[in-house]
Amino acid sequence: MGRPTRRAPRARIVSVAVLILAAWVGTGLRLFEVQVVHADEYAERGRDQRHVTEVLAADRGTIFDRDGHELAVTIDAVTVYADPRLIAGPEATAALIAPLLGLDTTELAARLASDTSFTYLSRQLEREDAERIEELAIPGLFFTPEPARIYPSGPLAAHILGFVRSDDNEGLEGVEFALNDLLRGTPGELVGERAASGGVIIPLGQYDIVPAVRGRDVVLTIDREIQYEAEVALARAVEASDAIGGSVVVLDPRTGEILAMANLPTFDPNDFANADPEAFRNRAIVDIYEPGSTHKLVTVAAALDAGVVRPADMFDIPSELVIDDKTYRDVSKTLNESLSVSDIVAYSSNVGTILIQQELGNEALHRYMVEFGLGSPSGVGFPGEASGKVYPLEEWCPNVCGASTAIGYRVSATALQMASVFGVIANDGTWLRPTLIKELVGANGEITESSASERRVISSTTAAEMRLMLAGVVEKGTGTGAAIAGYRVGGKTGTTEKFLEDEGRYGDDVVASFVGFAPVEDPRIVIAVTIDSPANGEFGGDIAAPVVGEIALSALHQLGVPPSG
Amino acid sequence: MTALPQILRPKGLELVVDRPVRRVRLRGWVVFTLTAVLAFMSLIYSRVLLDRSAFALNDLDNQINETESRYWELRLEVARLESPQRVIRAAEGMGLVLPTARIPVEAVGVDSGAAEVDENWLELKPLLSAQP
Repeated sequence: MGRPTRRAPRARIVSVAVLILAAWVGTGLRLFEVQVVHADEYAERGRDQRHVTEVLAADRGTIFDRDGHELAVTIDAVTVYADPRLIAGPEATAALIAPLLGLDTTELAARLASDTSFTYLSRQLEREDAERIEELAIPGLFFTPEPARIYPSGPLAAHILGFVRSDDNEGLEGVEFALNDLLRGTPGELVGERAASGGVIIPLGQYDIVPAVRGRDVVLTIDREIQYEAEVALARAVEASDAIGGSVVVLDPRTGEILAMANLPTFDPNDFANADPEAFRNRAIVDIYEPGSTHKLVTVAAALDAGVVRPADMFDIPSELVIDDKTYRDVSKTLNESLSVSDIVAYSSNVGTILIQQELGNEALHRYMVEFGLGSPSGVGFPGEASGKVYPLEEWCPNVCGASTAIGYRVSATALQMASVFGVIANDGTWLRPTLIKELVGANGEITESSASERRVISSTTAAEMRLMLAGVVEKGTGTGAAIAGYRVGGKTGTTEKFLEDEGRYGDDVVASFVGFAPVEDPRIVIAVTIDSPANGEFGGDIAAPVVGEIALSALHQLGVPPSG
Repeated sequence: MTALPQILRPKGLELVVDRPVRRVRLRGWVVFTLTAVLAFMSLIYSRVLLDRSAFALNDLDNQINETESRYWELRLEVARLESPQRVIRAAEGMGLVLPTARIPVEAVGVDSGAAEVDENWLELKPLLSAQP
């Protein structure tokens, strides 16, 4: 009887012991699995739970004009959004904040009454304005910092600057696009431990930071005041002539720096979303046109430089010139006489220029055109730059092609290219690559200057002779509208019918142009003006030349060039 | 054992010689404990100081960011105020008009007129470089 009663507890004890042992073994195995087998995985999960990684946005670099005036600035703005479900009175709230946001009250009330949990009220509001709304302490309104790109001068130099996408400040047009990689900088990273509130625990937790590197500042060659004058003068001319658009390029011939570049139609980069995308086009660089008589400079300069004519050489100018089946005439019917090379330039004689080209020959003309930079992009580094068109020599027919090309047909160029061509004359015969970027300034102040590129095209003697001939255009020829008090201006008029690519023929619309420089004795500026399809008037001398004079006067004052007489 | 004189051995009493006992060195333990506590407290205090400094640095960092933001806002404001469009509008609002003729005045004894852009630029470069 005694033995069985002693055996039962022992069995139970053994059973319990086995169970406990099994539990311990199980726990041990589980611990082994958790802490050894899957240790890395769980450690990773733990880190993910408590660690937070934030991308630190880099400040976008500022864009300055050549004198250090801000043309594009990034500021810390505030985006205001709402959770409509938390808005107690949509109408009352809308009435309160709509004026501060610059929104329509009814439309805002409708948005605040919508059945969503999120709606943007205003993106990238300036901090001061956002603070006024924040002070109202309206439940359901939220504020989050967001950088904003601002163009303080509004539409000034809009085509040069371009604009950025508001979501991520990535450049979409102009310099903002072309130099986006340099301007945007390098984002940083913050790895910290997450607090219960979701924020980063500072400083008790882990706090590793790789600071963002601010983008480079870009210093343009643009002069803000000259740019403004160019835009105003162009707008006045386009309005007066009822044209569909126009372009102005102002160059410093000694350096190739672009002092101003204006286009119409234009837009405000602060509000590009509401602008016509057609207005974004930088016509001075992207649009090509047949330069017409302004191209006569290339023909005559080439002939002088090649030694086939001299400025005083006389040519008998017939009333018309028939080459193959094509008849060439001068616009002015009074040119049926002998003219010197200088007078051919001054009075823009088509027939006279063709006679000079016949002395020069096709091959030489083609070579000089290429040397002057026609037919290839100028290298300004602007997105979408057109190369213009110079037909390969093999495609030149023996007679008509040379004649037409000599007077600026059968060749096309941008306004910038034509400014560069005249820059060769103004710069003693040396072509300089036009540039928009003066310097890049790094986050630590290191400066990278843009490098120059140049080549000699004609001799300095030829350039000097051409300057005097082109001064004659303004003093007695077709470009008298460009004359200004105190300075001697040289230049060349141009009026060409627009070629209709689709129809393969010339249309009724014209491009009126004038390219000039001043002062003739020591040129400091080259100005190219094109007016697209003017309805009132058609000649470059009437429409474009006065614009050049107006801009030249302001620009020379701005540059501190003393009057020469 | 040296026998004690009889006179010093009262009747009924027995001389008991102390056995050697282990004396607890309390002072050492107290010093150790106090030192440990002090070290621990110092550690906590230094950590608190460190954290306070970190918070102060964080505040300063925020202030720097705030000031930098303000700086750029002010630069933006200056750029807006200086923009040619605004200046022209303001001038026209005050009744100013552009001159119809410009008459150059020769200043005898002064070098060639206004400062060149390039000279201005030399002064501007260090300013631009010093930007945050």
